[in-house]
Amino acid sequence: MNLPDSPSAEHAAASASITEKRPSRLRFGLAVECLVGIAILVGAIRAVQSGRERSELRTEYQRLVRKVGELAISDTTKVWVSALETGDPMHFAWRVYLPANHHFRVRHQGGSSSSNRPDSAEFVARVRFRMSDSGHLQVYGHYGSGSHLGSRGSGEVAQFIQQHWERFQIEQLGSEGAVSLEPTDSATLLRITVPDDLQAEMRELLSPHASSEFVPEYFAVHLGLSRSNP
Amino acid sequence: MLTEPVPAAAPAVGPHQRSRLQFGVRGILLLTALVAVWGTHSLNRRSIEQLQARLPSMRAIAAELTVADPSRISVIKLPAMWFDEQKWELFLPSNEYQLCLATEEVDEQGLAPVDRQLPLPQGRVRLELAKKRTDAGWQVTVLHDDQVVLTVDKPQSWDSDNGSSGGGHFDRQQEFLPDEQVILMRRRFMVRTSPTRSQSPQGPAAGVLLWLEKPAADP
Repeated sequence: MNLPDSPSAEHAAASASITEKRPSRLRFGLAVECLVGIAILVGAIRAVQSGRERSELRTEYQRLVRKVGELAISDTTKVWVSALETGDPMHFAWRVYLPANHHFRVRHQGGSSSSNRPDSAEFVARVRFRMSDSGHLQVYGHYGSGSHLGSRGSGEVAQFIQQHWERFQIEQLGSEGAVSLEPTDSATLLRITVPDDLQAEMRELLSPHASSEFVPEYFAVHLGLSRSNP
Repeated sequence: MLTEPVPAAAPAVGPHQRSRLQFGVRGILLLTALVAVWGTHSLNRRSIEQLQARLPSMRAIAAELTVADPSRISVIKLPAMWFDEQKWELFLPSNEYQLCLATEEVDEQGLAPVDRQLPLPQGRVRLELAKKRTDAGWQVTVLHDDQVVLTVDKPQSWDSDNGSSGGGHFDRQQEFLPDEQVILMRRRFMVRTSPTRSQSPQGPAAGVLLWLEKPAADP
């Protein structure tokens, strides 16, 4: 942005008067530039350091997300549930957030449990099916505090279920992403249903009593939530 | 803006104006760089604060061992993937520690006669305790990094399926001084008091006690 010089006498006189002020102004300008330069240098060093720290925390965060999932809680007064990928079709897991001062109930075919929580809590809930050495199809459940182990069929029935597991209908809360529930809601965490075309075959393997217990709903976990006094 | 207005006395642009204009451009560049570096730092700090707010709960759920002080023993129980799964991760500051397993005379406090023991290496150690039925009764095993290292066979009467009290410790990570004993698990089997009732035994009883200790040095 250099502009052409003017050779005029008026300009020379004006230049002479201004030139007298130049050294101090230049010194001032240089001093400001030096200060700004130092501020840039310090800022750059701090930016690099904070960038490194952020990168390390981000790496740890992403590693933990792969391990325990991500649950973005935008409202801490609600219950949040998000299903986790386990890589095992017979293993179901959820990240759960419970707000403070709530009564939390879990009901399933093996019984029920409840807990009062004065503080908010985050945990991984888990339901897992596995064939035992003795040929029982066992179900393990863990819902934050306490756990249970039960049997959901043995012998031929257990083998039939395991063999056709991929065709059973699975409804898993939070499988499409995090779900928020009002703290007074009820919800079904997991429901496993025998498909229509397998129901008759499965009933043949079961006693009349067991038939109503296993078909069409094979297993379900229901949540009940209510406020408790602080 | 660091530029100054051109004086009215100057009918055209002279050398001093050039320097002022050059300073102006340089000033803009410096200002831009200043905003860029401090703005980046500010955004990084905000992101760090958000991550630091989320990480503690995630670390607790993941139950990972973090060694803050390598001169201390650190221990955490790993999340169970199945009923009564008992796994721990430990950090040991030296190779002087022994893992001890007892299955009889387990009291509510203190130690019990050792059935089996095993020296452990320095550093991170993963342990698991498992109990399973066998044709002859029960088998208690301890695994170190997924390898069976201790085995105790017990008769059927050892655990009569009357229930038990106690269990594995350290759902949250804890640190211990190098000479402290660390009780990983204390479980005592209940005794039947009537055809329909069981209760915790008074005094030492059958059960499982698993602990870590540093043997006293010879004088």
